Amino acid sequence: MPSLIIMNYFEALGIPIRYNIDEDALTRTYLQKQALLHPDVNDAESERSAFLNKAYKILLSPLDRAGYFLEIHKRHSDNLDAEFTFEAFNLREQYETLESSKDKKSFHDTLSRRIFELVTTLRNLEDNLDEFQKNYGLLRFIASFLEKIKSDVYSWN
Amino acid sequence: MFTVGIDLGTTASAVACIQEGAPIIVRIGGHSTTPSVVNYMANSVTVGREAILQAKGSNSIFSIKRAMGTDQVFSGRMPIEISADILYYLRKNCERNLGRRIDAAVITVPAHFSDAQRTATKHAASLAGIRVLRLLNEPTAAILAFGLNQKSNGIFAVYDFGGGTFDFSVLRLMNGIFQVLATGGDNHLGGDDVDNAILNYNCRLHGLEIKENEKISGRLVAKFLKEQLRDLPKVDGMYVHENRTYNFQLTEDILRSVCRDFLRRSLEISDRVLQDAYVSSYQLDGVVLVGGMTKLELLREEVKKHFSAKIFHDIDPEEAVALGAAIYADSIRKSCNLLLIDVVPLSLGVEMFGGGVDKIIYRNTPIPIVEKREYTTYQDNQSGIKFHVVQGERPLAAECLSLANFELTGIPPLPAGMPRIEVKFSIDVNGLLQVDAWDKRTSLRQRVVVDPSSGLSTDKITLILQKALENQQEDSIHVQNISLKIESQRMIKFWKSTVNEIPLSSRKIAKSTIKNLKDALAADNYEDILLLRRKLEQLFGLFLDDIINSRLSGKAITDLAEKQ
Repeated sequence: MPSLIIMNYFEALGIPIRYNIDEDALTRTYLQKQALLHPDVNDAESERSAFLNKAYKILLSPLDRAGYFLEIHKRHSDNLDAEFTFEAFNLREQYETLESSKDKKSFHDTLSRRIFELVTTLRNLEDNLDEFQKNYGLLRFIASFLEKIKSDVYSWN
Repeated sequence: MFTVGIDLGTTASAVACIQEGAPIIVRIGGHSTTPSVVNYMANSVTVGREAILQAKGSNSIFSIKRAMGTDQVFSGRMPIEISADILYYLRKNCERNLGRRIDAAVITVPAHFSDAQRTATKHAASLAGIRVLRLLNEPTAAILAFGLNQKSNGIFAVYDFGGGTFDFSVLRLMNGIFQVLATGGDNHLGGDDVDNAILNYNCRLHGLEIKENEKISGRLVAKFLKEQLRDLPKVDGMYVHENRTYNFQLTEDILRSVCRDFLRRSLEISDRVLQDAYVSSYQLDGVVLVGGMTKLELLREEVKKHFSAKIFHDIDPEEAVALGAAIYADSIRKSCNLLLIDVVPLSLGVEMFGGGVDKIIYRNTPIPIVEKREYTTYQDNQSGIKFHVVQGERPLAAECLSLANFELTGIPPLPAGMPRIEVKFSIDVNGLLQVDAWDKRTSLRQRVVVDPSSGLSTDKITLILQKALENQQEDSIHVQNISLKIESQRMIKFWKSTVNEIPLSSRKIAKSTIKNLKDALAADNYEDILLLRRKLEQLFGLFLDDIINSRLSGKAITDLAEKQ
């Protein structure tokens, strides 16, 4: 039996290594495969089922997929590029001046839109790995910033 | 082979099975649900309505589900023992009514139940002599009962407001596969709280003060009033306290104001889960209402107002979960074209130096899932590493649910940072965690003993389980054989569906082995069953990747998309 470790997530889903994928189609392929591997169907393949779940989870997320896409191309640094430090710095400053939770929520929405823009940008930069990596750095920064704001704005239990 | 679905609820439980192809509730004493109440008096155990009648003795235990996974003791018993008594009562009564033995069951739990709570539920079932086919999340089970079939592709939400817990789940239904996208809930939000609030309201009205542990009968009056209000605009009830009688009352307006906070909280949770699922309210094809609280008209109205989607409530919300569990139990056994892919309800992580949490598995990750992490030492010649596993979303371990503590020992003396210890966290389809570790340098594998950190000692549980096993020695062999048969039958179905896709050279032998396995099953020859199964697993394992690829080959995923 082939070892799971040598398989990459794209292979696990049987799709080409690309960043710009159709997420709905990804889900359909995933479900079709899981229909053969899930432990409720097939007792013997729970490890493969688990690997498929992991692959799907990573590839479905535009952020994780971007990180993984770079990893496959042996680019590991996710530092913020000098080009974007100003924007990142600005965003942080802006947030610190906000007080009401309403303002914070709308800032949260602004960041969500920025993330959407960046993901669209990444979709068009598959072939330009340098630029891809730079934009990914900013995307990561904003995404983790957004997580922090989320825990400020919404009460988790 | 006979399977059932059991909804082990906070306030009420129900059992369902499949009869003539359709799910039905197994009635006990003429009722479709049994109160989850146990009374222990003078060596006798009573469960259900009788136990409520005896509640005045204050020995009756209500809502034990809220204490599952803890080491609290009630009437000298642990929560798993008390839950086991409820399950045993359900099992015996069903077996008597149906005239047959229950071989295995799907038991439901709230979607956001932690690992400790799930483990406790599983232990309770084995104490009650029930083989657990699967632990299934309640909202996921409920949606199966609504008869959404192959054609009902879309995105649905389940709003499950029960007696003790609230759950909200978002699911995608595609060609018979139910994929949970996100789930969330509150362990301490339920009809019980509303009853309590009704009681408090009436106490304030009468200037009455009741001690917390004397509130049981008052809550029962409150619950009664709440249920009667369905048909009447205003209801009254008598409440006796210290030999004085008080007139308790409830109107729709009072109920509305009492419910307001609970309702708002439930809708807040719902919105958060929708956000987690990246689904907007307007994208929902329907919202399924489950749980006793959704019988309240005013609650339905508010939910309808909040979501701009079609509301499904045509199945009794107190029966839907058990019915769905029965459907899934039957489907696992027969390998129907029905599959549920559920998710991890709470993020799982490890406490790091300084009290922060290193999240390892994020909430809403599909299960089963396996994640690996590498750890090392921070002192020279350190021979052990202590781990604290937590569940929850907060950044600090102290604010999360403590799940387990374990220590890796026997690390050979090396400078700090040199050892490479790989720890594997696996969550199975029941949502249960298993931890394995190995030292990558020495290749020594460590068996990690996970002690539930709720204080509930493993020894104590083992002891109770052993005691139960001694009483059920024969049961246990029977149960093992049954499970072997169930699983083998499921695999046969699977193998038969794929046998024509394996290479010709192996097809003949595969077919004859399947036939032999079927014969062994018919003859109850367990030794052969085991052997033949292993043989087939190996054979098919070789070709599985090819089968999958050939099913998908030549079709780019965009083609697949168009086809559907």
